[in-house]
Amino acid sequence: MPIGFLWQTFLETPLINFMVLLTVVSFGSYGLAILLFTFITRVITFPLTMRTMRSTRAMSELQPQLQEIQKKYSDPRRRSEETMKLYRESGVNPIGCLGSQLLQFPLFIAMYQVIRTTLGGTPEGVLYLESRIYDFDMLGGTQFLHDSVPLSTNFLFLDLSSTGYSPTSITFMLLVFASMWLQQRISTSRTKPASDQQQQMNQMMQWMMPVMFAWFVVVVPAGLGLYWTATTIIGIVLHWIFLGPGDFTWGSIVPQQLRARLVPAAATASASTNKSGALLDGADATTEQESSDGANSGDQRRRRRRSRRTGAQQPGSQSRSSRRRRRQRR
Amino acid sequence: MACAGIANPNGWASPVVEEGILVTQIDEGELSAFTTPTGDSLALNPTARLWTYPGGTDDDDGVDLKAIYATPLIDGGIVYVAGYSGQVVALTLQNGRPVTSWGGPVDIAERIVATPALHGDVLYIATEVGRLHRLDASNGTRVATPVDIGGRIWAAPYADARGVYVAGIDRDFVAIDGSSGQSRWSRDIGAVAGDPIAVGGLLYVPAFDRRVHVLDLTADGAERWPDGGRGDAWFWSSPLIEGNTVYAVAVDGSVYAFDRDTGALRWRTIAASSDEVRAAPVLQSNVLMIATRDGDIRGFNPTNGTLLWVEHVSGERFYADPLVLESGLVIFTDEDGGLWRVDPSSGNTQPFLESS
Repeated sequence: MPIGFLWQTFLETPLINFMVLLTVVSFGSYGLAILLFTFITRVITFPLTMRTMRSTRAMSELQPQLQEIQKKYSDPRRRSEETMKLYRESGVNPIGCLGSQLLQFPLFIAMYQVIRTTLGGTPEGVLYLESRIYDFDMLGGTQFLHDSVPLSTNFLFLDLSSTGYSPTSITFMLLVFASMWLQQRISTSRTKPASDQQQQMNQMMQWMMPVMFAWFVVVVPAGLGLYWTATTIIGIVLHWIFLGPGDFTWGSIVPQQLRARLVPAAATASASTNKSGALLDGADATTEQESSDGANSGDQRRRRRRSRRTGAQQPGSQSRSSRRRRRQRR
Repeated sequence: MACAGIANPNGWASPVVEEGILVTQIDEGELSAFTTPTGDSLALNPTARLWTYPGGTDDDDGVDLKAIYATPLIDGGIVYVAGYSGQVVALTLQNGRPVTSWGGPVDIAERIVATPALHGDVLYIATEVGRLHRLDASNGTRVATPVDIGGRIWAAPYADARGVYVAGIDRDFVAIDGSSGQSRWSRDIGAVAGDPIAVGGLLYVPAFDRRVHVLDLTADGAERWPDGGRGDAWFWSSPLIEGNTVYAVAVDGSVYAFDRDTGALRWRTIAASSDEVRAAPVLQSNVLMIATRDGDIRGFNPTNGTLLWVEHVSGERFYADPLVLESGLVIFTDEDGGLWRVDPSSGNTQPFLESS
């Protein structure tokens, strides 16, 4: 059987009908249907995502040993053998973190076809859509799927069927770029590159993938931009919850040159705050630039902040309301 | 891939004949005119082409119709053309040059699929963003601010002395006062993408709710077929009214014959396979003909729906409404703008004019 037929029959057409169904349950809003679809696919692929994240975490935990191997063995073959041995002994699959991404690609391609078809951007498209909708007869002979198309292409102030340099497409182009850049930045923040080559590769991926997908969004219907933005943001949230931000700090988003200009000002500001008796210790005065140098320093800072908020707080620094609460409990 | 091309607009403007000149979109976004076809094939007569617009002259700089879905409207020797790009132009039928008083194309800046309507001096243009624009047909200036109808409008508006009637794919059919733009009445009849046909104060409207609606324009759009005109799939193509029968083709290729007074079903043919039909049916030499997206042209007996013949034109798709020339030749237009001549008695289909 030709692969195109299988793809259409078992993936594309069911997804088209599912999207139409979701639009019906989303009160006719195609934008909400895309968001709902994104959420559902994220729930379905959650076990795979978790596996990927466990693998990522395990990889980051092996970083010190990996770096040691890098230093210890100059022969690339030996180095590779030792690295594989380490992976084997630790039960880590180095390509385990690719599983979720591999599934994302066919989904993205299928979603491209589905959104292009269901939105019916051109009159020919709507005619074609009709032939792809299942004939579900409800009670009273109502074919609710057929009756609900053509779908409205408007979502908030956006036209999800638009392509090219329309305001909607540009909006999603920026959103996709920003969210993907952030995702790449956060996902590479847990592991220190083993070599300069890997660092260069990471940096290239950091920019190349967002640029590539942002360009896709301009040439395809804007609805796909909504899907990709939503799925990327969910990915960021999941990463943040289950793996933490690594050495990522919001300050590190600011370009280095700009940061260098801002840092003296920030340092002066923190010094004056210390004089006025605020809670800042030496660690708080650490600049964002410094913190981004060490692996997991973002995590460390988070832990420090958390401990400060809980038991590690100095008696003298307790607020009046918390002292009052303690007295009441006694 | 089966869906190749669905994202690219090609346009499905139907050819029209006026004053012995055939006007058709032979190439995407270009309109060409030919002398009255009398022979078997226009392709055999290279001198038949009168003009092409835009034709690459300085006057045509900045003109980009993109694709033409709206059938050109000809009135008083002027051809009104609305392109998918949103540009509207008025051309002299005889030479294809822009009408001087228009001062070039009018850019509506909204995609246009619906065929414009002309009533009196006002040209009504409905757009894909659901607005109805009113232009002075003599010079292209705006007569009034556009009226927001809502939803995409692909069906041609109909205008008469009482007002303008517009149907969109947002499921509302609206009657508007032509001068004030105020809504007079509206009917929820399902999405409409096909052009309504007006006969004797009644408007026959094909709709996606699998019905042909008949609205009485003299009675605020009262439904004249409350229980009739029902099919099993969307009705997109315009119905054909002949004698006491209304013929309608559903998008799945099923053909229906309804009683003109009541909408009661007289006969129907069930399509063997699910086709996609957008082109209106045509009746000639006592044969009812339809054309499908898959390249089939079929002939039926109009009295009982018996299939008489099927011709398949390989590799072509038919969306545009057919045309019957004065000579009795039946012309179907394929997606690329090529014209095909069909013999109603045998179904024999031959190229009439090939797209370049």
